[in-house]
Amino acid sequence: MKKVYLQADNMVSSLGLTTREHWVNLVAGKSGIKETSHKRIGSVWVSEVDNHNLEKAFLKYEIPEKATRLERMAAYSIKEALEGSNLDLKDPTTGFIFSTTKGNVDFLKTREALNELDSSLALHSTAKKIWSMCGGGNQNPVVVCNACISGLMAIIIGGRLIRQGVYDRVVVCGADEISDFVLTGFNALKALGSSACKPFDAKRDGISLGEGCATVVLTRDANFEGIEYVDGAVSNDANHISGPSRTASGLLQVVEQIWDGTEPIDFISAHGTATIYNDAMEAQGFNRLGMEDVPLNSFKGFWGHTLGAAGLLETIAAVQSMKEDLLIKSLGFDELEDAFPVSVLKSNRMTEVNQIFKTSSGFGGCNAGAIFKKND
Amino acid sequence: MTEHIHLHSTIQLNSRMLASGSKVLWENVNDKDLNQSLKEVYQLLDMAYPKFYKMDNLSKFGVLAVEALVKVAPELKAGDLEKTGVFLMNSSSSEETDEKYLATVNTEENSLPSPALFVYTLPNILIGEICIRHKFTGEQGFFVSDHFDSGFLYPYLEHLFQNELLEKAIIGWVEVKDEEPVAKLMYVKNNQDGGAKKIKEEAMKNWFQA
Amino acid sequence: MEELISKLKVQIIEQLNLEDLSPEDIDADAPLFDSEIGLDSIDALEIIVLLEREYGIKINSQEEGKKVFHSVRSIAEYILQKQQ
Repeated sequence: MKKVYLQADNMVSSLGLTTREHWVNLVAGKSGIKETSHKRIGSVWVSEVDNHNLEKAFLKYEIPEKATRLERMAAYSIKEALEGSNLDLKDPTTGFIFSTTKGNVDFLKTREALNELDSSLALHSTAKKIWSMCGGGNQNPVVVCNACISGLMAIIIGGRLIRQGVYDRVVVCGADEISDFVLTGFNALKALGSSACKPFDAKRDGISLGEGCATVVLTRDANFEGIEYVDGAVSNDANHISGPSRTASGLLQVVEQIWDGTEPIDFISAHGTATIYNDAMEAQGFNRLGMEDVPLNSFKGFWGHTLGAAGLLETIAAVQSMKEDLLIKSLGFDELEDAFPVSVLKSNRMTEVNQIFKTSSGFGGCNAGAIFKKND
Repeated sequence: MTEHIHLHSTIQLNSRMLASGSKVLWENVNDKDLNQSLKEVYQLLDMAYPKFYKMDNLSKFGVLAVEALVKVAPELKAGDLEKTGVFLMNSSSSEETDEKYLATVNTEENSLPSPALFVYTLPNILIGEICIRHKFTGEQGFFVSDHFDSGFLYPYLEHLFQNELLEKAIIGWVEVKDEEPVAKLMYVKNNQDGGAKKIKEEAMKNWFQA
Repeated sequence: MEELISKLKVQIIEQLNLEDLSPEDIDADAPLFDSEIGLDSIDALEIIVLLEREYGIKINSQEEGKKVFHSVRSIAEYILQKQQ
């Protein structure tokens, strides 16, 4: 099987506009989730990307103005990830995968505004526009719209397309914004937490919605910093369209598919949304897999649930932990629920990290998991 | 390299007819509207599945088409359902339901956003509905594209079949935003059992574009 | 009470798209969840919306809803109690 490597990355969230900025804030235990007031919902805890800093970054990278904020954020993220790499995005051996759940949905009520920006509600057009803003060629973008596993699934698809020989390199980008549409929806589902989210904590009571964007460049060339995408898989619980499986069956299926237990897993970056049912499902799953002693966190205490960007942002943070041999605490976690014990990180931990898991689960009963390791 | 993708059967559903290959299974007589038509097909397929009425149009269309496909190819219900995948595409994602949901957010003061409608503003809920109905738990994906993107899906499926991640898959185009809503599905598998025949990317593309 | 129960049955069928059911099919005392009628967590949230829109009653969590939503009669009792 061809080897696939992570060549470059970028992260955009409330905690910054580069991977480096994020890492500094992660090590410091800083959260970007803040309380704000919404005209319909009232008090709500969200993680927003700072517009002032974004505008400065757009100027620096000469991101065209005639586009939506989401498109500009994605174009910036790709350009920043590729800075100094001399990669020609017109090269047909480079592919583009874009993951999002709702794209430009906030323009649904004012379509005219989109026309003025030469943009569209149609996600495929959005992806094409982002790609062309970055200097991409005629490659047809693959748009993954598969709820909250979209970002991780996009990485898995990229890895598979490289192994299948379709591309030598794939730019994987994911983005979602906080919109009235999504906020009112999660509120109607009674899924929003009453404070900054507390993944895996016994007192957790819901998610903090976040927005963000992230880019990973996958390649089959081996001369990079040396983190390897090992394998990944996707499954469906076939149980309920919005509730997670009560037996964690889909998560178990994914892990059993990609990991035979021979090479140890040193860290799990879990989905950890901080809803009662999701985190209980994951705790049960990892417990049943005999992974209750593997250090685990959720990064959502730092920048909330960023939907289509979540799997990408969290993968990059987890990979950074491996590069630095420093595991990051699960922010917002204090006390474990006792039904299915797992080893949630209460403080940062310096330790050798050679191989990690990233998992995601989403509405529609979908699950995804992937393994990354140091290239030796 | 030899291809692994074999075509077993197809289904097409639109507001005028339901057909498998050249065989017409249902026709819309007397110009019934979409709701009546969907209900008639539901009854024809003898589903007895009350959840159907709670679905949005995208899910109704897709679920009915898959139900017909399973009737035409009962072997889909047999074997290792962990190795049965579902891959669907369309160009508008869930836009039709997005608009309906938004109408419950923005209108008169008394109106409250509908949690059920919000859940259906993710197009992959359709895949969830199909998996729940038939207990498929394998690989899946919902992709948004302005055309049926065989250039991506064909090698992707080939990879999943070659590496034995899947044995069977339902692939298709389900679009309800256009004037003429449509579900077009193929049941493909990694071997020729049951009369399945090898299909090349060109033929796949042509069938979906026809 | 019985009048409210009849009205609730119609409203629940409408709100939850229970097209195969008529009001007579729903026993006012029978459990709505984990039962023949088989409502799920999203249905519970839709009933919360229904109660707020039609009766001005706010229920803040699914857990709170679970106690109230045992049967159509228990919902009716809750409405009457709140309206007093």
